[in-house]
Amino acid sequence: MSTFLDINVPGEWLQRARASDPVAQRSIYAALARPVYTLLRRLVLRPAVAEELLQEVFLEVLRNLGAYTGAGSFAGWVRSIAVSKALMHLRSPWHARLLPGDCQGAITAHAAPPGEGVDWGSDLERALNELPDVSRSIVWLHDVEGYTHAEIARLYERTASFSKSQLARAHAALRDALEPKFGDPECTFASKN
Amino acid sequence: MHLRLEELISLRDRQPVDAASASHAAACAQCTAGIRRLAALRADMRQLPGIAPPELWPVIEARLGVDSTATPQRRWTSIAAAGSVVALVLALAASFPQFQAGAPVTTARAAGDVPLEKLVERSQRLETTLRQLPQRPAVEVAANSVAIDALQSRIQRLDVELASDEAGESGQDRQQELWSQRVSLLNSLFGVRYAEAVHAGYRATQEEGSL
Ligand SMILES: [Zn+2]
Repeated sequence: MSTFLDINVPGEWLQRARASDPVAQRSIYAALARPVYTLLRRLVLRPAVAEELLQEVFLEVLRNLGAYTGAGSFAGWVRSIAVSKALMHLRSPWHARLLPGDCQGAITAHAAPPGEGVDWGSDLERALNELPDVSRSIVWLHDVEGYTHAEIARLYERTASFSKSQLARAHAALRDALEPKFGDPECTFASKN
Repeated sequence: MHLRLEELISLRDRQPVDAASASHAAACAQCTAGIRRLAALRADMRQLPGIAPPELWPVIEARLGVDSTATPQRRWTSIAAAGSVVALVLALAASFPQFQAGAPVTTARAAGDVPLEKLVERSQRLETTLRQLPQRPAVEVAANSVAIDALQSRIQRLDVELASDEAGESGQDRQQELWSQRVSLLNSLFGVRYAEAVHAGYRATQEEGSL
């Protein structure tokens, strides 16, 4: 499940950070930077964009701590800001016009540190990277981050059935990329989407 | 007839499906195997290693330091930071000749003059630059907010049209016109944000300097 759900940021840090205590601000950043950056990289792929968005997420979070009402986990609130910024980037029309080569190897080159890398991980990351933005972001938000179709529909200003059909498309493409031998005509995976 | 992928995903996620699909899945080895594969793939995705970000805290801290809520012991940092905001904004503006020396915002040339790829590239550069501008000041000028909202919503409407025609079916002329409008709106947006940021930066420098 989403790594965000495991992160507990002490209320005391939040109080001190609201008063601009630099140590508390830094502690919040240290606790959340890795999951935020991982999420951004999965959604937008390009390291340079993810780094810029990471800055924007933490500037917004630390400048607007007062807007966090305490409803839901703090990490979940930070995640929603990161998702919103990443989707805003993906919706930007020039983003769609970037040359495909721009993203190639963006994740696979950095994701698995030496010793932690496993073969299926690299293949899976490569397969994820090759999905179109919308299906990649939806499969990640749904299957990893645990967003519901209704929540995804709101984020994309579409319907829940749009989210379902994009998720099915993503799975069909991942299946094709990861299980090339799986070619019998059963319609288990014969998505009509 | 086996189940569709969407139905298999619903079953994996324990979401409701119609009774016939549920009973088919319960009795069909292939569909059951399909659900298991989907669950395994989800587990694999959740186990992918996290990605460590580069060390960006110093940059974020410097950008935060510009915040007017800085505590007394951080004021000297703020003075330096406020000065650097002005420098940053001026440097950003320098990359767009139309903003040098406080020149008024220029409108884009006629759509046909500039090749589509150049318009897209210019749009991209303007957007990157807009993102690099400091956050809007805590005390916003109402007129600026209205102008910024109006420009942003016009850009959004253009984006909807551009996104709905990614294949360029509306034709080269229309695409060129839309992108030209986008560049023009981004130019205007940058002009407002630029003026506001310079004003806020100088004001912060003066206020901090008088302490
Ligand atoms: Zn079946």
